[in-house]
Amino acid sequence: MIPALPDRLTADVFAVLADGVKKRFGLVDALAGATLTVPTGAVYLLAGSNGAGKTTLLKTLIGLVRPDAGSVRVLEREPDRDAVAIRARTGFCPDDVVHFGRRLPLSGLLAYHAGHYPSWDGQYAARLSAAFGLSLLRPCHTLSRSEIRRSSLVMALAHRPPLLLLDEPLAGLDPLMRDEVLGILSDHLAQFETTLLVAAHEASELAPLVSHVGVLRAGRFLLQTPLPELRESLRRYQVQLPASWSADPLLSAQVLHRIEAERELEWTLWGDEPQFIAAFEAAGAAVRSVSRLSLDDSIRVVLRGTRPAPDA
Amino acid sequence: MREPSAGRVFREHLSLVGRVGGGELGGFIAVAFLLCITAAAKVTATHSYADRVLGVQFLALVFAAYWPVVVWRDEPPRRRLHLRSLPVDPALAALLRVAAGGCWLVAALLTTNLAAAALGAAIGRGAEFLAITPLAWLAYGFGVAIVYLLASAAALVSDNPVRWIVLLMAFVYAPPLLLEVPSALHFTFRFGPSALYRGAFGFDTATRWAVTEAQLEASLAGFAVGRWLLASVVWLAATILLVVTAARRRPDV
Amino acid sequence: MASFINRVDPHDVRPLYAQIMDEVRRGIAIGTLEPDAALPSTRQLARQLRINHLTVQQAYAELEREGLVYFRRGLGTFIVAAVLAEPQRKVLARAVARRALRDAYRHGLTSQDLREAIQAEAGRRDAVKPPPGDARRR
Repeated sequence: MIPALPDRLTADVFAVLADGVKKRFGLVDALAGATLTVPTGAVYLLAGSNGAGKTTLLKTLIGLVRPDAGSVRVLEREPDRDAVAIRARTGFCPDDVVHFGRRLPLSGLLAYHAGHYPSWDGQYAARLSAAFGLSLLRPCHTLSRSEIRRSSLVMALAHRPPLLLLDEPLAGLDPLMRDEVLGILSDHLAQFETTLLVAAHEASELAPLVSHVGVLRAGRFLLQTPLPELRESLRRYQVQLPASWSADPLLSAQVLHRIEAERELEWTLWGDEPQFIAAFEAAGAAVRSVSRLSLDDSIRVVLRGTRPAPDA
Repeated sequence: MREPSAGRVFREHLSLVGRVGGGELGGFIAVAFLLCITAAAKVTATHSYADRVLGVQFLALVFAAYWPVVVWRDEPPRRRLHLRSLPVDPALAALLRVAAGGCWLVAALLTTNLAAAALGAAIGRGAEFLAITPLAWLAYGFGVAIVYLLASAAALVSDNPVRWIVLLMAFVYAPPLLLEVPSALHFTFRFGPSALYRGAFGFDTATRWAVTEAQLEASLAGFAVGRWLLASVVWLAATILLVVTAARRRPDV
Repeated sequence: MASFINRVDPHDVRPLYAQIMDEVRRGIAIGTLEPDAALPSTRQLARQLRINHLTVQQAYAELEREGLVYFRRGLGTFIVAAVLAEPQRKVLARAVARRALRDAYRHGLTSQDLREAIQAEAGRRDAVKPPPGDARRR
């Protein structure tokens, strides 16, 4: 049983608001009541392990998947009625690798996309293609997975949509190209008013761009919070225990992650730091250190819940 | 304004089909023209040039059946992801693609026929070609359209449309070919397995053509031209409906 | 293009905007950022560091509040003319001390333990190599 964490955001305006979305594929519940709240202008990291439902959730936003239950509102519209209007205002970079066109050069594929978006900026597309190292004359079917992903990124960014949905944008890219993509995303966000929703299971490189985090497991949200709140609320306490120590059960119930030895323990807790320190000291323990967690570690901790470490 | 107009999307499909299928179109025109040349060379007293040229249209029918495979190359129903995340209704986009393919097909057929006419003029048989009645051309048009639309429906729905198209062509051509090989090129199907194939509203009736109205009437074996026209229209409408239905199918990704 | 800060550390205790601010302080303290020196634009720095431009904005705004930088509309952000190295050195020193004390306590050491250890270490280092920066002090 995981302690209760904030699982929805509040805002004046939401770019995306999905409430209680359920979707079943065969015998598997891809989404089991997911409530996604993305404020307008946020850089929202959708985290969770593979199979948690991230891709399915993104696809419901642009109408590629029809939910079995729940409501979805994207840019003030509903995907089951206004999918075209939503897609016209959304840049989608999918995770699956789709080969396209044996006779089509990459420039042809980009031109085909460009024609569908009146706001397509050809010069920006050219600059992005160059920055991503794409050779536009290569036939589409000879492109590597990495090149396909990069060209999907160009297609998502070049028409400067108000909403960007990127599914694992850095997957399969070499380190230099990852840096390039991050720099370009940073620049894009600075130039154009955009809400960015990124699905990724590795957060470290994206963390400096991110303003909000959502953690998805088994089709439901464990946590949705602004990043500063996550940084401020999640702490790892290294506590030195007295000879006779009995944990306050209320305190113990809130532990997200625990590593326990005979005279020392390391608990990760969400909440008010002074309160926790006071509780430890009241029980006779000495708090040796209080440290913050990196975003990756935070997500890991939230996903693991309170699985105890094996006995030493 | 962020949504593209239907006209804009159609232009994209035209460009795409042109790029992807240019090779096949060129190949078809070249082969058709070569056949015209052999037709011109074999002109005799009994068989006119125009007669021979229309024999080339056998190739057109086969091409019309195969063309959707090229139009939808590398895009089986489940893998039109690009199509499905683009800001256009997927069913509309599919229909626009079919229409774009049709436009290119018409362009190719116009080219082959113009080339045939030019060649006819060059060998002094131009008048024959011009004597082909509008009704004959209409018959030709209906035939090609119906076959193209049926094959498109197969391509829209199936991951492997080629087998359905082969089946279609077998249905169209096997009976007469088996029974009357020489006359296959004159498209006078005298035998048919059933009313579906051979009757007033039969498929065969709808996809035949002939050089002159008289020949058409003769080949219809008793049906009035008006009835034939109606049958063709009904067939065309039915295949259009089939294509529209096929375009609206949406497999959950 | 080199700037006063080359990278940020997402694992650092300090938030990103604080890291940027500390690097500006550091630049002032050692003299590489002189009065009226231009700082990179928000967009440029964000792109270079691959971070959100709002973070850079926040850092620059905080620096302006502390009187270390000023904005010129259309031209950018600049170090204040009357900036002094000494106060910035003091601020940085306190921050370093805070981190050291936190780490010391984690290891069960008292502040007295740390003080003695620092004096011993500093003495050893000064014997090997005199401290730099005297010439650049203002």
